[in-house]
Amino acid sequence: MNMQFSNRLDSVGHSVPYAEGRAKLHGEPIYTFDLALPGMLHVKLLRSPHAHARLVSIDTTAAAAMPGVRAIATGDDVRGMPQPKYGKKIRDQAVLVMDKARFVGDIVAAVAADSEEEALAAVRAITVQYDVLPSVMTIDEARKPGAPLLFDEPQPGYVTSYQSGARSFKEPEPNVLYRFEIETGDPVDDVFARCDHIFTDRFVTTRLAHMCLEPFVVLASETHRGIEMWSCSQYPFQLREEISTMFGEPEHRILVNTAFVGGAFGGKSFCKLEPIAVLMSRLSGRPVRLCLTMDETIALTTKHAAVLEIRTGIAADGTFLARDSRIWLDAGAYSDASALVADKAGYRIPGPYRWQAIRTRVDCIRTTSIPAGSFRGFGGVQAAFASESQVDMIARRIGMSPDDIRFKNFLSIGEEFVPGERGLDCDLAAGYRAMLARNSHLSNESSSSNLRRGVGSAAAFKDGGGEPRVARARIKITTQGRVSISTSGIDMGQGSVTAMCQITAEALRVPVSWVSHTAISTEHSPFDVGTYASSAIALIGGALLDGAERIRTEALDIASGILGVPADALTFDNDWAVSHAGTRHAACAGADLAKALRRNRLRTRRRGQIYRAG
Amino acid sequence: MALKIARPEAAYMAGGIELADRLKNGIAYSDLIRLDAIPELKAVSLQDGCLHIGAAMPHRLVSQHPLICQYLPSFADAVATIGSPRIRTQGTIGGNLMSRAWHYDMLPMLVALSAKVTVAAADGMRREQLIDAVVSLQPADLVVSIAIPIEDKPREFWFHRADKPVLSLSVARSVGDREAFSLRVVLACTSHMPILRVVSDGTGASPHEHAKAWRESLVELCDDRTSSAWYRAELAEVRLRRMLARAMDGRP
Amino acid sequence: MTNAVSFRLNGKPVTVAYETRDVLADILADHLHMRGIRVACDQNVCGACSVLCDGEPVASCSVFGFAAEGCEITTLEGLDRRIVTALRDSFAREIGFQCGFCTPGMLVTATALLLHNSAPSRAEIVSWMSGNLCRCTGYDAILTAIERAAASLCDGEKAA
Repeated sequence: MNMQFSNRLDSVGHSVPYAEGRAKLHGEPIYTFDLALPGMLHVKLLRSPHAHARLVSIDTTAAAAMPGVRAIATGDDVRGMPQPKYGKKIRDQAVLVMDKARFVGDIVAAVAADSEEEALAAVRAITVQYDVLPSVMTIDEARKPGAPLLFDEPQPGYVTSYQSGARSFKEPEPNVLYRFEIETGDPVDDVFARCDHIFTDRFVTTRLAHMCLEPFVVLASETHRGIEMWSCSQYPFQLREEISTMFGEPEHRILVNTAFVGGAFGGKSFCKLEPIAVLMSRLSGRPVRLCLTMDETIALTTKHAAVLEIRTGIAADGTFLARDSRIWLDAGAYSDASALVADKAGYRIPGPYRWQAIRTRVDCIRTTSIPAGSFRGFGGVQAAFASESQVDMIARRIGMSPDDIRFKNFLSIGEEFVPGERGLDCDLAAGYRAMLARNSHLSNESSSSNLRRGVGSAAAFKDGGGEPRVARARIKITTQGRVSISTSGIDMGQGSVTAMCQITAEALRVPVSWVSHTAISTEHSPFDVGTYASSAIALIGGALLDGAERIRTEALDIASGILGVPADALTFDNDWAVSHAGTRHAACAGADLAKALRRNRLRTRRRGQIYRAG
Repeated sequence: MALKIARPEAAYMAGGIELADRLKNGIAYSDLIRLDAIPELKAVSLQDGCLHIGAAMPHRLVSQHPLICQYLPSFADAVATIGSPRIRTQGTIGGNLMSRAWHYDMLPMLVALSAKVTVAAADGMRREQLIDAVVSLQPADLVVSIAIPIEDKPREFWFHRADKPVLSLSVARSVGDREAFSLRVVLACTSHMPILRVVSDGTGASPHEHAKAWRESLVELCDDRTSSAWYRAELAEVRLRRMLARAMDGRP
Repeated sequence: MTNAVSFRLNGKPVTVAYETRDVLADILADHLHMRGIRVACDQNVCGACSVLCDGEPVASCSVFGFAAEGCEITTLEGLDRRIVTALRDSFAREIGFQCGFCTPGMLVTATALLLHNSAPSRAEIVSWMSGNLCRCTGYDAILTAIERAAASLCDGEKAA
């Protein structure tokens, strides 16, 4: 990338009005929750009251005869699907229960009716015979020898083959969904033998509910054109791929639309209940809406509860030498994103510190409870809590300040945290020092007051990106020289759209108010794997800079033709002007440039280039 | 009352907050008996050394009523913190008491204040009883009013509620005790019922000692609802010590 | 079963036919097309559905249709112009929102506060707003926005 930015930035680094702020302050945004389609049916769900039970029989005859009922689906309707199960890497969650209910709330049947009340009444009229089985509600219970098993057979799926000492395993033991291991550095036990002190501590974290104010909601309509959905999902393209795989419909005949999202935090990621909506539309021949209540949304997915046992060996002077960690994540009944969470926890548990030896094993344990999934920094938060807590405890035990022990062991900028990965891209020690300086007034309090203040500090590291992460962007210039950018970065409130407009405005040297962002759908928007892992601005922003550079180059070429001056003698200036030898030429502003760009595009099309990316 | 006896499947409704929840959870009633327009249930008066407050009075009006602000200013301040502004607009004393929810605030506050409650029963008779007897209400019973004993000067009252709630503490000085003081301390939101303890200064013990003495029994009295029993007991000791220190000094 | 209820909405009298099962939120959003009526928790916990009834905040998800009879109902559209404009400007500056789902409820509730108390302390703001949940912002920006709006309204009054 050859763009030069002047030292003075006009948009980036400035506090600009939040892109959709005014609309939000007037209650105007349309969320997926607000959408309705003509002739739409309402879907309500029958859920298992048992944590673990074999489905013996379901009788939907009474329900089917009730007023307003247009379709009912059970596991039998799902069995014949090209792929009736979903789950990241390990596909163990059926669209509707086919064999066993595995948590209280597992979905056993779905009803589509003219109204929500009629759907609910019909759900209540479905009779189910369960053969109740013993449940396993905790990690300990699930791991006991002879514990009831959630699955009798291995589930379809795969694990990624890693390098550099990392390995992963699918279903290695009873009730263990997934295992991630990593061992790096010198032989771990040798290093422990050299340690002056070894500390073992156990940490426990609980589940958390996302509790987005907008509950989980999806609309689906299958017609002869294909499957169209309106989803609150953070990953429209991944959703399209999943629906394609599960229903056997090619991707180009599946369209995922998005609307404003009322909070997500990971709770609207990957595949959730969208297949049920598609199924009900298919069975009824009508568009449907599936909207969960707040209680149901809590029963959809939670953050993983975790037990973390960390064994840390250090030298007498506080130098970290070896860490051996065992982590158990309560994955709940089904896989969802647990494999990814385990990987992340596994990579993060050593913290941003230098070690001579690391050994880690993370197990995702199946329990008969709500499936756990993505929730803000998944895996990393649990690991950072445990790791940083232990660092404090160790410091106190050896009489060292918790800050000093960190300075002693922090990775330096550019240093690898595991072999083969990119090095740290920030100076942790400098940042930590700056933080302490800024907050020094908190600890320097006189003891005359009867209140005491406790001050805590911690450090953790996060990859902004996940892997693999692909983003594309498209920039259009209107006839008035305004800019319309199109990406698939879902703005759930984090301000990504504002940031992207700022980046584009900066790169094209136009006011931020000249830039807007299109609506997002899989039909019109450039491909993107999804909005997660704190990566949208870095990656999509990068794609936008790429595109902006191409536009600037093209603009200079056009100006060059108009002015009769070589392009490299011109400088790209504000508001579509160019400068030559100290003179600013506005001749290329706005309409002229846009028209010229359009002509340019027509020319290139004749050369056979159909899509002008960025 | 006659209506309710005649239609046992009917529900009382004042603010309707609890009722709305129950209806949404699928409970059906044959009729709704609206109480919010009955003047007797919203009256406030001074009689026989007590402040009588109608049970259908919304919390917001209770916290702003001139008589209540005059004789029970700290109680009025505490009522102004119940729930949220929405709850205070619609919610009533009667609704709060009749729900018998473990985490609601009226019962512990009124126990501390030695209040009495007037209940209209199915047999048509009215009875007045100590507020703590509200747990024995029958389905058709209706809380009509509460009566809080008052004094010449504003009654001292202290209230604290910790997050979620983990616990609440209501403390009031017993009425009529001029020489030795006696504090009624009510710990609530720690189990299914509030716990009353009377603390008198005859022992000469410090707030610290009183709190510590109570702490020993607290772990059995607290349970794990919304927070661990251990943490509740820890927090209760600290909060109790601070509150007793204020009460014993006569600080608000 | 259809019923009718008459009340004043944002200063104008309305009469609406509604089903027995409809709560005020349904009447305002579906029958009267008011914006910003967001039913999130449906249990009078989150406050996203807040409207004003006779100037006081209520949860429109938990007010029965008939209970609105004769009331003065104010939604986002009908809030005191001076106050809500100051709040909007302040929320925009402080970025007192992210996804925006809770925002109408926040503005309704904050307007009621400033109508009652034109110079609330931070503690009073916290207490009054405690029934309105936000999962995105962490609240600080919202509280500061209300504080600054109150201050600017007071300054405006002094200047006038």
